[in-house]
Amino acid sequence: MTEKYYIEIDYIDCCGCKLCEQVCAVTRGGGVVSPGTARIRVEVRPTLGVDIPLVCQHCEDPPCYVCPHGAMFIDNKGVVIIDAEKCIGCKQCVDMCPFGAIQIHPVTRKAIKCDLCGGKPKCVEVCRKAHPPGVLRYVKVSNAGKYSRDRWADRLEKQIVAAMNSPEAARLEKHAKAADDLKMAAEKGDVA
Amino acid sequence: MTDNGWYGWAGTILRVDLTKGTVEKQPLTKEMAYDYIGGRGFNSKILYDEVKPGTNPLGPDNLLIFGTGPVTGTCIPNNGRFTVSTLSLVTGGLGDGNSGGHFGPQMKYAGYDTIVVKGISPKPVYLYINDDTAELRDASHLWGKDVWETTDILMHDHDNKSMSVSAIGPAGENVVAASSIMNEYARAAAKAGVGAIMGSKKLKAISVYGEKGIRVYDPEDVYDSTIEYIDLIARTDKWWFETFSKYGTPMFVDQYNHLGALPTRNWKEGTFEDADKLGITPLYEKYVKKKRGCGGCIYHCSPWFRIDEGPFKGWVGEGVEYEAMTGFGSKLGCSNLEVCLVAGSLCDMYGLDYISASEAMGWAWECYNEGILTKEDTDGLDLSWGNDSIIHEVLRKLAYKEGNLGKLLALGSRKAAKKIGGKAEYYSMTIKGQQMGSMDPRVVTAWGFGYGVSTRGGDHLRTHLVCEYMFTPEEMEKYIGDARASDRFNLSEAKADLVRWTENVRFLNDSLETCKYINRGSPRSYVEFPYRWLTAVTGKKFTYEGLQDVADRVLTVERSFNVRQGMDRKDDYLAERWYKEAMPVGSGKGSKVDKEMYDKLLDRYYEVRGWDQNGLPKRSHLEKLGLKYIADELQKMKLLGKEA
Amino acid sequence: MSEKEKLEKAIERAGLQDGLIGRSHGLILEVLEKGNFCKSEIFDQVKGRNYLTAPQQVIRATDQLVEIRAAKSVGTRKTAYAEIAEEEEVYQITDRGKLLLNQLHAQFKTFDR
Repeated sequence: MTEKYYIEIDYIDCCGCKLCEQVCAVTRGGGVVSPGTARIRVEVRPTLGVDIPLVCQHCEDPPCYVCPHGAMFIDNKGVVIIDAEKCIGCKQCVDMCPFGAIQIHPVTRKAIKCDLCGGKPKCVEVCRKAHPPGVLRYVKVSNAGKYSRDRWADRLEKQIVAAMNSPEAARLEKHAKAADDLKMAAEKGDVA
Repeated sequence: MTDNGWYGWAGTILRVDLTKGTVEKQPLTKEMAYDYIGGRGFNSKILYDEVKPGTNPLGPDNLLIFGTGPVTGTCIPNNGRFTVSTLSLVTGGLGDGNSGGHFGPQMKYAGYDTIVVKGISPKPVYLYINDDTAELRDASHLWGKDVWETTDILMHDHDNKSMSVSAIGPAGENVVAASSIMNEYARAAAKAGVGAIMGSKKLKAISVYGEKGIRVYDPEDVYDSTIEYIDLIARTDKWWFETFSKYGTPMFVDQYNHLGALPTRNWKEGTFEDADKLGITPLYEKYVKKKRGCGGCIYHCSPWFRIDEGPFKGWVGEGVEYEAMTGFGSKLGCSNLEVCLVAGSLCDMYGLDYISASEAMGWAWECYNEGILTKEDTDGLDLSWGNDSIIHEVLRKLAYKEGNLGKLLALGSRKAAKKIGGKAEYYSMTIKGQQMGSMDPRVVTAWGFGYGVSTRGGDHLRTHLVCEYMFTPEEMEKYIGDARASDRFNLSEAKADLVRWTENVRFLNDSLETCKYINRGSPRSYVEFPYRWLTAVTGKKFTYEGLQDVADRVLTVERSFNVRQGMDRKDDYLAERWYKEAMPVGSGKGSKVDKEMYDKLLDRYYEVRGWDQNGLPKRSHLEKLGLKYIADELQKMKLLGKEA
Repeated sequence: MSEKEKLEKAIERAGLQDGLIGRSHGLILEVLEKGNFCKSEIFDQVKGRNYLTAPQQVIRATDQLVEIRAAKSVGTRKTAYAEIAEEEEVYQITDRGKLLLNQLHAQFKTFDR
């Protein structure tokens, strides 16, 4: 098997615009543009400021791989593919996915899931263009975690730098200055 | 199913009669779709045809129309918009508000281009839409609740956190002139008192969820043109693309202050000495936790904030828009950013338009400071410039029509000023009765002219003339024909042509339904893409020239509606202050709007629009646009424009 | 290809032919001939000429010059304009920019209107 990929998500920065969902529906929706025909969906929570893209995680041990009708196979890139011809819409795979990443297409009534667009996922491209550098990344599984580490290091870096300039540091600076003043006053004979 | 032969458009108009309690589905016609495109195009046409002169805005015969466009719900940049139109109680003429969020796409996915609401419900109701199901349901448990509570309850009751809810709050229920219709908690269709109309109809909310979907004709070009467009903006409007994504509309506080155009103390001045306390530096230092975007947005401009300490600890919201910072900030002489942030969220909960509410308050503040309003009028509140401690209390009074002050402000500044009389009317900075936001017209002269001729009354969005200060003079020469239009301080004849060009291309935003922030400084973004998108989405071949004809048609329909309501040239002027008082401070010091030149511009503008010197549409022009029936009607009413 | 041809090609590729490079760009290049400046500094020196009355016009015209490689960024500097950036890029005229300026001088009697 060749190198396996997946779509890595920055959950903190997603803005909830749903361009990924719309682009998927337009290009892969089988002629119907709807959240129900998109293979990536975004749940928005405005009161918390939280927006959550949900898509097939291309699991190493996929719980969805339970088709009783032989409509599923794993391709040479390790992606679980649903053969629409054979799919009977029994929803076993839909029920098994913990991310709700498999849907029943409202018109064809077959199960649909992300197949990484054969190697150039459109959701990743539009997110990268519209919101550089993008919150969706097409990443090698062997690099899983790397981008999260990079992002968290960047965020923590900012916080640490801010802490270095915090009132605590200023207080210490003030103490140091007070000590100098006291020393000067003592040299002048001004200390009680 | 979606297989009704339509691409782009859903193909159905929902007709709601609140008096009878019925909901019917009406098929969209090809004539309407091709000749009016959608969004504001459909809305204005329906208003003209069905709301007759003499209609009471708060009566059963007024319509409240929610309209999406053919690209809403596709992946075209910033497609998540819709327009709400009505006969306005604020202007007495055409009124509309435009909103973002996800309500528009959800309407399309459920299968509806437009929702037309008429009548008055005997009891409070909400309209529940879920794909083919569209029915009126009891809202007595929601009446009296604010927008956020209403949204939460509906999502909980229907067990659907993905639905979109458009709702009014107490302001709309109390039929306050400044009330808005909110969706997604913080997105607003705000102007023209649309919330008041919804309240008068006892319609509390519309909830919509859809998966039925729409079709697009050429999915490949829809996608390709989206990517190419984003590349174009990233390249030819680079500063805008990067800066706006980063900061959102609060950047206008800083930007307009530099331009000398920041409305300060009820438009007395154009620069605020404490603008730096309200701008992006303090905002992003402490309050913004996240940026969010509307449907299909390429910017994520919306700053989501939370206040972590101090008297307003715990307040959250997305009310962090320019109009909150200038409205409750510089317009009232207030320099407390937290007061502005919370005021924005309060407006979102009450269902109030930031602009209309803050303008009414700015009027009251100036009248108080000039001794025209007394403490009796203000219920004992001290409305001195810069007193920010009472701003939230005044907002609450306005939403609930409490006390003398609340009842006065609830009328809107024009009617309130008329009630007080005398110099109070001079301080009401309205155009056709509609309150203004955005930039001071003394230093961006084409904007001012655009405000005056806007068909929905005082408004910067009919034109949204960022091209005036963003196109290079070379681009202005190529696309408008006259580089003089680039000089923002000088009101030259070139501005009339600029305003006409801009109104036409801006109509395309309002009819496809795309957000106006997608076209700013790049001329190609206005000209080359809208017709390409329409063609790719709908399958019908559109051209730039053809769309100009549609824009001319709708602008003239809107004008005809206003003319029927009794408006003409006399209503196309700005508030007196902008002609009379020279800008006292800032980079535009000494500027004022040249009234003589303004009149010359009106003459030129009417000429290019096909209207006579009194602003009445001429038969020759109406017939050219396929509007003979309007010419006949106006003639009967003795309102037809005189041919040259 | 001659330098003149390269300039023409760059303008075409950027979609800036048909008079879209003109007096405004000449004024900006004249400023950059005197030294390296940020966009806000350039605006302060050219404002009021050729209808240039807002910084955004100069921002975009300068970006256009950078796109055709008539100017380039040589670093950043702190400025007072918060919405442009706390630190603004500093621009320098390139050889191609000098060539363009000569062409514009030949084309226009004056950059003022």
